[in-house]
Order: sequence, then C-alpha cells, then structure tokens
Amino acid sequence: MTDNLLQDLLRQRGDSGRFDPKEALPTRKAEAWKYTDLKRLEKFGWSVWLAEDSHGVTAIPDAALKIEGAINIVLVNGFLDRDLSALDHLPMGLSLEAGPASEAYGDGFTDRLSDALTQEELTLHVDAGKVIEAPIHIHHITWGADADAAIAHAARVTITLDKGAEATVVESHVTASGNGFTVPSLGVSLGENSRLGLYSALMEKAGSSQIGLADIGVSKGAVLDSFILSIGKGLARREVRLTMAGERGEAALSGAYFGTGDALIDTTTFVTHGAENATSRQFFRGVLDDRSRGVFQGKVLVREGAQGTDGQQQHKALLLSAQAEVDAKPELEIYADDVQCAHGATVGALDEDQLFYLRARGIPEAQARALLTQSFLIEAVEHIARPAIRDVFRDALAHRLEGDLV
Amino acid sequence: MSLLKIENLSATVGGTEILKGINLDIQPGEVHAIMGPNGSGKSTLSYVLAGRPGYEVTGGSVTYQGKNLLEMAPEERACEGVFLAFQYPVELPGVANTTFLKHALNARRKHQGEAELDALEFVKALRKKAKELNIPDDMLKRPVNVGFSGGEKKRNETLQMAILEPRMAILDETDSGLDIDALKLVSDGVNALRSADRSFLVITHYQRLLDYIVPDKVHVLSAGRIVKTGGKELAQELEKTGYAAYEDEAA
Repeated sequence: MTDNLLQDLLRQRGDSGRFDPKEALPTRKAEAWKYTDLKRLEKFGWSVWLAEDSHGVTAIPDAALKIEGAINIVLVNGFLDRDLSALDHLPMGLSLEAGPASEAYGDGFTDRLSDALTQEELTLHVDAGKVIEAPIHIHHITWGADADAAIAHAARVTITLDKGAEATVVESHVTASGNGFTVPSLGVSLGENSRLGLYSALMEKAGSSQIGLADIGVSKGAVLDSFILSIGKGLARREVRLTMAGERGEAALSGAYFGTGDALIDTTTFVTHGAENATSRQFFRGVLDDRSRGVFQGKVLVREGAQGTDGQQQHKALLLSAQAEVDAKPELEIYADDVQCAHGATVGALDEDQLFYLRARGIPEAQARALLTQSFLIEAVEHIARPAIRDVFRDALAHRLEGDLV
Repeated sequence: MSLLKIENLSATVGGTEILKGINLDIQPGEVHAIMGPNGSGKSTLSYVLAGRPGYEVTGGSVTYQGKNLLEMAPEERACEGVFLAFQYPVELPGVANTTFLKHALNARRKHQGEAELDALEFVKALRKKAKELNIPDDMLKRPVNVGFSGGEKKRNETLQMAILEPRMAILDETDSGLDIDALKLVSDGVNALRSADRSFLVITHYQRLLDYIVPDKVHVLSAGRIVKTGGKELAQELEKTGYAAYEDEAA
C-alpha cells in the first residue's frame, strides 16, 4: 500500500501513461466527480493483473446472465480466454480478434486511466450489410485466488458495424471471486444505416469498484438501442459519450439501477448532437435502499447547425430509505434553433394509491412495496427493443430485487 | 350470525366528517344495495371497510365474522375474505395482470395455511374464469389496468373477485363507465358468484345495475346516514322520484 493508489497502479504497469508523476485519483472537488467519492478504493491494496498471470476460471460463473443462443466471449481479468470463448464457427461477416490495445478516446480521467491500465483490446467487426442474428455476449469476469484478493484490470472492447450491418451485443460484468477494480472501456462505431443493440449488465460484488467508459458514434441513418442495468453491490460508474454524427441517426440510451447496502451507482451521460434531424432518447430509472447512493449526470449538447434535433432525457428515482441519496444533474446546452429537447428529473417515494390497491388484494405491505419497486424499474427495462434480451434483463432485475426486498 | 355488522359508524376524511352514524347488518348470502346522491358518503364507506389509510374512524364499530374489522390491516381484511371492487381501479405499470393475481391469491392461501398454487394450475384456473368474463389472454399479460377501457377495468375487477372468492364483496359503483353490454357481462360475473355464504354490498348511484344484480335490501344513504331501508322495489321508486326528497330529510 502506498499513499497514492493511482501512482501505485501505474508503477505496477511500468508506465505512467498520460498522468503527471504525482497525480492522484480525482476527489469530489473535481466537477465530474462531485457526487462520486473514490475513497473506498483505498480499502484494498490492488494488484494489476498481467498477461502472464493465470486464473482458475473453468466455466462461465452461475452469476452470469444466460442468453439463449448467444455467442459467448469470455474475458477474465481483462484478457480474452480462448478456451471459454466460442471463437470457432463464428457467423459469416463477424470477426473477433484480441490484440494490443489501441489509442485513447479522450482526455478525461477515465480515458487516461483506461489507457494506462488496458493491456489487451478485443475487436469485434461486422461486415457491411451482414446481419448477425445470434446475440454476442461478452462476459467480463473478475477472478481472484481467494476472497481477499484485490485485482485491478481494464478491458477494452471495440465494436465496429460497417454500412448496413446489424448486431446485438451484451456486455456483462460479474465477480467470480475476490474483489475487482475494473476499468472497462467500450468504443463503438455504427456505420451508415447500421443497427446495433448494445446492452450492459453491471452485477459485481460488494467489494468491487468499476469505473467504465463507453464512447459511441452513430452515423447517418444508423439506429442504436442501448441499455445499462446496474445492479452490483459496490461502486459502479459508467460514463457514456454518445455522438450523433450523421443525419437521421437514432439512439436510445436507457437504464435501470438498484442500490442496496453502501452501493454507489453513477451514470454519467454526454450526448452530442452534431448532425441534422437525429434523435436521442434517454430513459433512466433508479431505486436506492439502505445507505446506497445514486448519481445521474446527463448532458445533452446540440451543436450549431444540428437543426431538427430531437433529444429527450428522463431520469426518475425512488428512495426507499431515509439514508439513501440520489444526486441528479441534468444539463442542456443548445446552439441550434430548430430543436426539440427536454429533460425531466424527479425523485420520490412509492405511490400510495398503488400501494393500497395491492394491499386491498391481500398482498402484505412489504411485498407490495417490492412489487411496485420492481415495476418502477421494469418500465425502463421495457425500453429494450430486443425481446429476448428484455426478458433476460427483466429476470436478472427481479432476481436481484427478490434477494433484498421480499 | 351476521357476516358484517356496522354499528353507529362515523368517519372523517381530512378532518371532515363524512359518515355520521351508519348502521347495517348483512347476513350470509344477502345482497345489500346502497344508493345515494354524489357526496353522500358511499365511497367513503367502502374505503373505510377496506381500510384505506387516511379514512379515520371516529366512532362506532364494524364486526366481520365476529371479529373487529377495524383493527385489521387492509391486507388482513382481504385475506379474511373482504373484497373491494374499486370505482376507479388503479393502474400498475410494469406489473403484469397474471403476476398480480398470482401474488394476491397466494397471499390469501398463505394466510389460510394452504400451499401456494402451482403456476400451471393457476394459469389454467385463471384462463377459465377470464374466458367467462370475456377477458382475452392479452389482457392477462398486460400491466394491470394500464391502457384498459372503463369496461375492461371493471371486468378485470370482477375477474379478481372471481379468483379470490371473497365472503364479503363490496362493489363501489361498478356500473360507472359501463355500456349496457359490459354491464350485463359484469353482472353475470357477479351473479355467478352469489351463494349462500357469500354476501355483497353493492354501492351505486343508479337503479340500472340493480335490474341485473337483484338485491335483497336497498338502503338510501344521504349526508352520511342511512335514511331509508326497503326491498328491491325501493330502487325502482328512487328511479322515479330521485334523491331530492331524501336530501331534504337529511338536512
């Protein structure tokens, strides 16, 4: 253990990357980290997982999402495991390769951290006009030799859909053993008129912390349907940068989160409209219980000339306990005049009329509350356009809630 | 023994006294109708019996099956067989109708010390009852009452009643918002449930419903009191004379 966790991690990698020699983890004084305290990371002495290390994962853990007919790709501690992954007989038009990590996405702390820690990059490519029917499920698994192990790792996944291509990608994060400090990054490029379903499930254990980044570009006429299910028990921050780069692009960016214990769930989105007549839809729902905290920072920027932009953002949170907290910061910045943009953020408690209706049918109050909580979150899950994925996410959410509420 | 005995019941809502000494004695198997003008306290009575928070009992008693009903939580009343068909059924976005009914039925079975129903058995029983009420499968899968028409909502309430098999069913203006076909369907559903040990309290503004669900007794409620009690012919009389005479009486 050193007094500077960040420098310790960089030393283990043998390269300080784009960090100053004395730079430390951001504190709450930094605007982007105002609501998310990284102090809990100091509870562990993290070891960076290196290419030569070997893990003991012999099968996909039970905790992982099960998606019927999916092409399972398994990354353990940031590295592709070829034995556990279904790399043979990939459908025509889909290629998957692991290689040295490429360049950064930006200058933010998370960008630079992911650059410094990422050792391997998984590249997924769909050829022009090809439709990949089977969902591609990328499993991110943290494995430690024992329960006290503290493993730091960073995986980078790059997804490219060429013109007119179609695919469904699920990326899920689970802890098999030990504790993980994970910095996954996702670079996504949707070519002209391509269609991508991109679904994330963050389900890590209580001692884990994740600071993740997704950088997504949507070209002309392309359609993105995306969802983030954040139901882990530790810290989970997901930064999403979505750029509407081509006219008539459509993007849905939705999510549901549920916090218990001292979980901290942070969703930070930045949607840029840089082209005409593009549409973005954000629909987020969160429920916080115990002492858990939720953070939603959502920004929509409409650049000059992005006429006809339609950008909507909604975030609603329910607090189930007096100690739970949510901080929501919606922002709109508009430099074009012919636009439709709106954002809404509410925080509340359960609806008393609904609660009474359930109780009047004999359902005990605690169970009625659980049912309403679940339905509140499921309204967000219903936004998932792919029915098979929607079902899996709905079940995962119900399972997580059952463990805590009923 | 009475199934439900209300004695000198008074209640306030938000500090305003709405019920001012209600007396009512319902024997097993009887159908009682309560008629009255808007604002007479009909819905308040139904909510007080179901235990809705915010409806404060300030005097009197309600004895159900020999027990003090007012001491029970709403869910306990339901599990003991009291059922309120809501005038305005509540929408539950995200809760599938089937899931809702299963939770409700299993809560009751658990309360009675019975095993929870097997999912397959339940769906079979549900489909059969739904078919009788002309409720399509699609409505069972959809979230409770969301996007349902007025008639669909009332049919759905009747379906819940058929599944839960209450002993004391309170129908709060079940006829409001129904066209004649839906009214007939809902009434048939209710009539099918009539039995020697199940009682009904039918609350309505109009006599029309009572052509289909024929009551044993009719009470006129006005300004928080029952001002007249009679047989089924009282409903027809009210249809002709209106409530004006009783409003004067109460005042």
